[in-house]
Amino acid sequence: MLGAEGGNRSRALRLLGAAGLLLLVVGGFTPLANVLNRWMAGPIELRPAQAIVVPGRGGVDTDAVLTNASLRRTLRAIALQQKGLSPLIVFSGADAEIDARVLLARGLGIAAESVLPARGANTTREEAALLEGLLKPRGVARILLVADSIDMPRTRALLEARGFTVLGAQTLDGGPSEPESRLHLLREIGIELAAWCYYRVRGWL
Amino acid sequence: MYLETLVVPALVLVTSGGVWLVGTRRLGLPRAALLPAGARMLEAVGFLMVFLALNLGLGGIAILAWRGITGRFASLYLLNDATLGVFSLIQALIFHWWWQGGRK
Repeated sequence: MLGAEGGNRSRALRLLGAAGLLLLVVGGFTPLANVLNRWMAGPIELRPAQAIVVPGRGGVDTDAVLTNASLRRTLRAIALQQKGLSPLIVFSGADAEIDARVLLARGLGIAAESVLPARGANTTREEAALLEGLLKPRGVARILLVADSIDMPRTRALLEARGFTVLGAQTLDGGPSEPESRLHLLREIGIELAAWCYYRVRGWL
Repeated sequence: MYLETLVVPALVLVTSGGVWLVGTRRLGLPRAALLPAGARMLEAVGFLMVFLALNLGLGGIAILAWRGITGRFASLYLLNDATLGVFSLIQALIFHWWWQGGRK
């Protein structure tokens, strides 16, 4: 009896292990992660808006330098503002992240009155509430959302639920081509899907 | 698929072939034992998946509980760390060998 149970457990473990290896191979050596990334992002809609919204992402390292993802978003937002797509950039996130972003934007020639820090939110849901409180009184209803592709669905849904018209201006449309980076992206997609499910369960989406 | 993507798998195939030759011809390892070895590897990877799920699940619950109890913020992204995978692998290997020893 015990032998049969042990055999069943071994079989289940082997199947699980095979599934794990398959995920490794498919995730790292095929464009699966890239396709999911693009699918989650939705269309890019670079049209004029009343504000460019840049949610927090990863904060800053211990030396107060923006993380890769945060820097990418910030630079994209600055480029969009300089193209004249919106007069206002809104940076949210942790205080240190906002400070570094504002400093970078100012250093790259963005006027002080064109930058609006949105401080005090820890989560995407809190960011959406904070942005509503900051932007609605200014009459802002149409925004360009600058986020990573995988972060777009949840952030977009939360902002749309608060009455904003959201235009997608995501970074990293295609995604990486190296196996390790693809696996990293796949992990991020998994995290984002888990967060989406959590938000759905809590009734926030 | 970019050609560069094939470098790592090709390298692994070459070294695996080399080890197969050394194992069978120099070390006299039985060829029939290779398949069970592969099966045990799959079991170990299966344990890795289990431990990873346990660590992530428990970590997520702990962070949400921390937020609920203390009212202070802790990010779920704390769990997005490659070292969790490494430690899960160590747990999986130890447990697998323990499990194997217990079954003898």
